[in-house]
Amino acid sequence: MNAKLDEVIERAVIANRLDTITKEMGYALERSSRSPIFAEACDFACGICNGDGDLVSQINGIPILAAAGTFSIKEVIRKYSGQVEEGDVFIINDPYQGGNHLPDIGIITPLVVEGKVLFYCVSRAHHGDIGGSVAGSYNAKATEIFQEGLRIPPIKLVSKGQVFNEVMDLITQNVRNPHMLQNDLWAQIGANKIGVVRLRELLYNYSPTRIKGAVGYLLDHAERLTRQAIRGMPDGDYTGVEWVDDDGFQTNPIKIKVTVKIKGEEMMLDFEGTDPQVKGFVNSALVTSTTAAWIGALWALGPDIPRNSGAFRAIKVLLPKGSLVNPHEPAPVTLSTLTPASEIISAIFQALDSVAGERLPAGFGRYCGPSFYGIDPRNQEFYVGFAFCALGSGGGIAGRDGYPYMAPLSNYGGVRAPNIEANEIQYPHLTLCHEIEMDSAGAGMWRGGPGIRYSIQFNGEPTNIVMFGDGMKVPPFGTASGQPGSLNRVELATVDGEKISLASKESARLLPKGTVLTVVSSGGGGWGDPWRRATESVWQDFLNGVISASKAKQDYGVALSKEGVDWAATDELRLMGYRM
Amino acid sequence: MFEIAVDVGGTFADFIVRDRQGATFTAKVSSSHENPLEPIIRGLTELGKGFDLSLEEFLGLTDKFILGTTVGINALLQGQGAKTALITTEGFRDALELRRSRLAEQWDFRVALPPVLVPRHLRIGLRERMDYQGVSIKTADRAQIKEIAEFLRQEGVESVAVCLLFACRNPEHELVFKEHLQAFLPEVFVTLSSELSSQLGEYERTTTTVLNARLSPVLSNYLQDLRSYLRDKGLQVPILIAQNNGGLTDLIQASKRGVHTLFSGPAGGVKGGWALAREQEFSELVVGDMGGTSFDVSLIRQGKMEVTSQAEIAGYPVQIPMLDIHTVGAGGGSIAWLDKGGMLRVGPHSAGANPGPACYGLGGQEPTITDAALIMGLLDGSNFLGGRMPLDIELACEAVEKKVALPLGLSVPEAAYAIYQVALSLMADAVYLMTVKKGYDPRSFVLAAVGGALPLFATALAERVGIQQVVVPELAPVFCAQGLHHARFQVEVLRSLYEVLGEVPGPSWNQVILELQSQANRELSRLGVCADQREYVWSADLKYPDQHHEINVAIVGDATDQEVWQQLDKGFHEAHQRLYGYSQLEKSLILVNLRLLAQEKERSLQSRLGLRAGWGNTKDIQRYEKSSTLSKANEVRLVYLQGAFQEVKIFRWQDLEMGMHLQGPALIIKEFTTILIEENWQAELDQVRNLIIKIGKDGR
Repeated sequence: MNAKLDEVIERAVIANRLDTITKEMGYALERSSRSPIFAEACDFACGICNGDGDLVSQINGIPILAAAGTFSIKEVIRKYSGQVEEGDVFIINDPYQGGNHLPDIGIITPLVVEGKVLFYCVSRAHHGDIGGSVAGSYNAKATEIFQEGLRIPPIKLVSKGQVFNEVMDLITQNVRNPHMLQNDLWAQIGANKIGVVRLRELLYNYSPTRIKGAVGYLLDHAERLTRQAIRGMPDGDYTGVEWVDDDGFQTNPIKIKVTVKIKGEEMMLDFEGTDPQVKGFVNSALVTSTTAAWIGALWALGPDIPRNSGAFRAIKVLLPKGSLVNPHEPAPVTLSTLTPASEIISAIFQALDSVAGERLPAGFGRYCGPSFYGIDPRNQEFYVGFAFCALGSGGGIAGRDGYPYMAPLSNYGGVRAPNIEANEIQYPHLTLCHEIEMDSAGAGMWRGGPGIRYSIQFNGEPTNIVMFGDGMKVPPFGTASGQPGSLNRVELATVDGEKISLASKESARLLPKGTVLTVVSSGGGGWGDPWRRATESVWQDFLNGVISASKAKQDYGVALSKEGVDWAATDELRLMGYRM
Repeated sequence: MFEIAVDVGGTFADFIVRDRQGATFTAKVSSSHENPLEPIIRGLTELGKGFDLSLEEFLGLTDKFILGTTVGINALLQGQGAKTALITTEGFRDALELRRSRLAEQWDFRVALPPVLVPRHLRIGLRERMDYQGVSIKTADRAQIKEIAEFLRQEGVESVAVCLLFACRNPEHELVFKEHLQAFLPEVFVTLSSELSSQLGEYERTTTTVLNARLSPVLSNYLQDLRSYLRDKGLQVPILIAQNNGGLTDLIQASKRGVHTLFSGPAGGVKGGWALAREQEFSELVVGDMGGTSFDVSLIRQGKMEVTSQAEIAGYPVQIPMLDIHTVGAGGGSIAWLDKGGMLRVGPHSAGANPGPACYGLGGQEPTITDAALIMGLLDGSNFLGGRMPLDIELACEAVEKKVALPLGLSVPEAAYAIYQVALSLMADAVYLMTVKKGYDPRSFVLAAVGGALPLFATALAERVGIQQVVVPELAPVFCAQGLHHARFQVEVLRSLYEVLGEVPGPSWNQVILELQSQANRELSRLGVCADQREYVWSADLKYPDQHHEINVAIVGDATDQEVWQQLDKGFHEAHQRLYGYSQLEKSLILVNLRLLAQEKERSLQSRLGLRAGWGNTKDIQRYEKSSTLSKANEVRLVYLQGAFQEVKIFRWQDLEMGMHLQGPALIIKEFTTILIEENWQAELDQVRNLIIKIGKDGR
């Protein structure tokens, strides 16, 4: 047969198969893992890299974990070059050596063919606890990574099929829920094993050389698509700025600045002008910052580009050393996968909005809520949980309103919020409310998604909470004359009825039984001039309790009451361009 | 003396009638969205004519009438349905709209989610609360329910969905609400979440409940109309409806539980596969169905249909067991295209029926799988759909040349062949995902190739995934309707237990079994299934204590037997190893649910040997004798296979005789389909006119 024809077919067939295999790995991981953050919330990603550690295929998972696998594997290759054998499994979490932040553990399994690594299967997953000063390992008061938990450099956990139990013990001994961690590591190892077995089956039909050829093509193909999309944007320097509330120590906002330089088919994201690194855990090390930059740029460039290393190599990222987005070791970094990763993306969106063909939304809510931990009085066991049910909401976008209850940008579409019922079985608290908050959505022709009111009453004794997050000072931005969304708010109500407002980053606080915690999360930013929103949509929002009558008048120029829209008054308001 | 099965699908309504002797007669008429009764009447009239009977005479002689319908799913897709309100626990009325944040498409912000089925102002919080163990914390007061009833009346609400927190643990609050509400509003249709599902997870339970509330009235109206029409025309037996799980139910139940019948047609296809597997004594069968827009895969394993508890309907999760059918966008009309980077892709977009593939000549500009097959010589342009749809090869070539061949630097036949191969890889991956993901070796399966397009791919697909044998059933074009004939009454009940799986059953075990059994028996009695015609299939959902997802493990034997009980954990560990790559034998297990599937026993399967089958008269069975001679082809055609045009023998299905051997490469032309037998495969028609295709050269 014609060699060219062969190639055309082979590439498509191998691409489809690699995607099928990563899907299967993801399925196995989700179904067999144990910690809620992992099995319920799906806070993981898995993929396949080639022998050089270039990411070839991955499941739709957590965006900010998307590229981390390739960094981890490159660290393994650097350290273990020539010593990687069939049956080995590597483990890694150090943010300064190929990881995102300490709770995300990477498990890497090579497929060795004729003495050479043909593929690496990698899964990266967020574990409930990795030690450090506070349970859940989001230590808002850490000033060094050593206070954030256990650092694992790239090391072998399994050698030629033999588990190093000593290593396993050393790791599990340093966390608060050793059994869960061990089970979840097994789930990751199992998922990778499934990947490796399936990849080996590819060898029944194709020689290693042919497979390498096809994989090389897939990477080039993604690079070509990326460069083409870059060429579609006019040359120029585009600047975007976003702010982080604070670092939990100083109270001033922290600036992230990006200049996206487009020239021909070259794109460079230069973060010069970003504030220096800070004392608290909102620093973002190289892997997280680079990944955030890549996925932010790719969102602007288009949905059809495969998110693999080929696409990444077309996008250059410049991260000034010593800045917030590339701190010197041992700066603390645990919050980075939420904030500032989402704000890095947000800065890129604001820079590229005018040239991205209405592909980008207005600002999203930021994560803000406590981790909570203690002894469950129902079974006397230790537990640690997170306020996933307090997610904020998405920004509006040309053509539709933002959706409520969306993960922050760095986790968009990847996290699965737990059901209230599952949460109450896992944790000793009673949920009092989980509903849309009125007047929280950023106004716009396409408004943001409304924020969420989430209240829980703690019944465990004692319950500790640690606040972590952002977005109490800086709201989700509005786009194209749309208005910003609302701020995050968190409040405690004691059994005596006293109300206490919490900051976004706090050290552990002990709560008496019966205390009620309420998070009101951000509504998303609006897109487009609210004055141009269809009156009927404003009426529906009012009818549905998403906005009040006064807000309808003030933000949208629509006069309405329970009886209906007052069209004459509305015409007058809108024609006059009257704004209160 | 007649048994009628009707499968009303989106494009066609298919009919199969069996007479007392077991002979089958079929009809196929096009569906109508405007008047869904009309095609049924037309098809039945046509069938009656075949027996020289009027519609009234024909229906009067009918003993059994089985229906598979897409009325519910069509209503959903078109945004129709009853005006529905949703009652939730106070403080939680937004579960339906908040969803769970995870998205199928995360790289494109513009993609819209399926619409929210009940607007917020019709979602009402009830002041009640059940805790996580199903213990009541707060009960609703009657005054509030009265207010709600008043509001619903004012709003003209037709249907009410009720999903309260932890009703899956204790349905009491839902039951009380319904009782009070119906006292105030007797005419309104009420769906309780606890009637549909005992599983945890308020989001999925709410969507399931709301789908039922919205669609049941639509289905109910349709079934009432159908029943009164057919009764007027002489039908004396009840209409039976196929459900998503492949079981039958009656009109009363179907009208209340519309969500259970949304996939009744495709379920018929799986049931058809099941019957085929049974008849042919295949223990493992892959049923592949390729029509105009998609390729659907389902499995028969160890003679059983596979069920999933994690299904989605039109983007909405449903928490009821359904037959596991995996769909990919690769059908005859799927479009081949080059992405911006120059890589060849096929689907998921389809040219549909209008404009359809370029070769239809209806204005379609995009090359499709059908166009590729025509160029390769696999289809005869003058004989497509029995000559009813002439295909224009020039238009096919033009589209393939412009959109694929020129940009890739391939010749037109090469490009067509590449399209065929890429489509094939999508199908192979779908089969692969359905088998290996569940830990099954595809090589132990037989492939049943049904639907108009799959027989063109069947041997190639089998070879790709390592399957050694393919069956193209005689009734492949009406396969789903054919499957409905085999459906039986079926009732599923379950009990949430959530307890540690001990070495011996707990003290209440026998009691639980008795209760489930009597619950199922009551329903079977209502459906008219005699006690000696019942059989019971028990299974348990198990998991490791801290795991979040269960595995369903069959209880093989008497559920009250201790030894059978002790096999349970072994079954779990094995399944876990197979599915997820590891198991932990030292761990204890949690028994989450005990399930009982109670069903009508199989009627003993008559041998179809001696029965007539198909579109008209076929050969007498007496003429069946094993013949070792190869059939003579009456013509040859040039077909592009393996990089070159080569001569391939052409056969017509009606000329085939039982026992004949055909050696590939060969094409068999049948009404509504063409079968490609590749080199290295040989085919034989069996006693009941299924085409059995096996890998290997003649004589081996």
